[in-house]
Amino acid sequence: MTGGPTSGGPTSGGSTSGGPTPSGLTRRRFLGAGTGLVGSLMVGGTAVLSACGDIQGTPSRTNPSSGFGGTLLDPPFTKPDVTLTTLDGDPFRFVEDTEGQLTVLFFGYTNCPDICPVFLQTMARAREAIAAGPGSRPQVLFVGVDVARDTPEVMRTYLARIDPTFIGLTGDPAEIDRLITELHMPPVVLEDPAPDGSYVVGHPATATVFTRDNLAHRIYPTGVTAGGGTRMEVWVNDLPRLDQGTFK
Amino acid sequence: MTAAASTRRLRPVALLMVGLAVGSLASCGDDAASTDSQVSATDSPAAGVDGDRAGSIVVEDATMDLPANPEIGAVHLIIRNDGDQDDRLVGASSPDADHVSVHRSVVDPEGRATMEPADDLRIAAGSEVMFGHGGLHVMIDGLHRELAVGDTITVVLTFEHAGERAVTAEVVEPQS
Repeated sequence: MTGGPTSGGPTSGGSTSGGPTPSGLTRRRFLGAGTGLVGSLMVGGTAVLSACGDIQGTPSRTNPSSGFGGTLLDPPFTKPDVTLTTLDGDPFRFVEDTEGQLTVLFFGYTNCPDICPVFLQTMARAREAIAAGPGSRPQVLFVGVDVARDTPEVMRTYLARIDPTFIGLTGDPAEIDRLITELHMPPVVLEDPAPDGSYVVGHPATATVFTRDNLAHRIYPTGVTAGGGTRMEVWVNDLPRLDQGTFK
Repeated sequence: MTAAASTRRLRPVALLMVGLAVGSLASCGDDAASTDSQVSATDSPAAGVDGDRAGSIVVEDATMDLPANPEIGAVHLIIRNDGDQDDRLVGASSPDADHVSVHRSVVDPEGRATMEPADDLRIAAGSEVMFGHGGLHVMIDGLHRELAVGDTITVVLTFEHAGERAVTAEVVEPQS
């Protein structure tokens, strides 16, 4: 199962060697001195606290000059022409089935106990807070990247507990990775299982927002606030404006 | 142990915490107040405030967000080392789940969210380690029963020197 999601991409010879697992290499990279902004923030957020650390006080990453959160994409991203699968087994044609709609695209997995449910809960609370008008009805797409465990049944249960309006999607791992990489995000990583059968899943830590013009003008980090994520208030501020065609 | 010391610094929500301390305390030599008997955190006459500062681990504020996946949860808590000896979190288990592990959520330099094991986590003397959203968590895999807000599960943390701490984590509304 570990080779599937990356088999459609440019799998290098080195990553399929019989020696130390590629997953180990990947993991060691996580421990290295990350240069990525989000990575650095996340590592910092998990540091041992020497006193009573106040994570509540961590500022949001809203750009003060524009009042928007996340990152502006200039030029904006277009929609990849990929087809995923709905939880009912029907094709979900990404371009056609999101046509003209405010769409929040997020990749995760249902065995994820931390980042994924917090992001989805944050989005659910933001929807409630916006309540009505522009931005109040985003089409939230949750793509399960751990296809062996993210079955339609599990996905349904998972999303029903968070927000039943959210749309669960699955699909061919290569097609999922194509969607991810065409949006300039890193492909899925499924590490080799440990002796107890558990395995590590890596998924893009970014939510992409498509607007009515069928372009993505902004992306948002999906870690939690303490680790460089996007606060609920940021979504409440941004989604209505994005839905009305204001992107910066 | 050191119930008085821990109570002194309790947070308002710290009512659901250390159930009991099991096992032996290893002292670092100057305060040889270790005991092999079970000692309740709320009634520990054998462990005077000044008696066993070394390896003195307190676990508090344990909660678990109501899981979205009924089998998977993450317990967040605070581990405080009131002693003057470093300790290590070397194991975790639960009578309420098949498998328990200590993880840290990270984002790699390429922008990929994942988790990495946090085995043998050092709890420095006099420090406090927070297990919070987006960082460290005790991952609960294979929950034995479906949980609702207000339910509790038990997590047993094993420390190299302080021994075991059985912690009661209350299921709370999920964070957003």
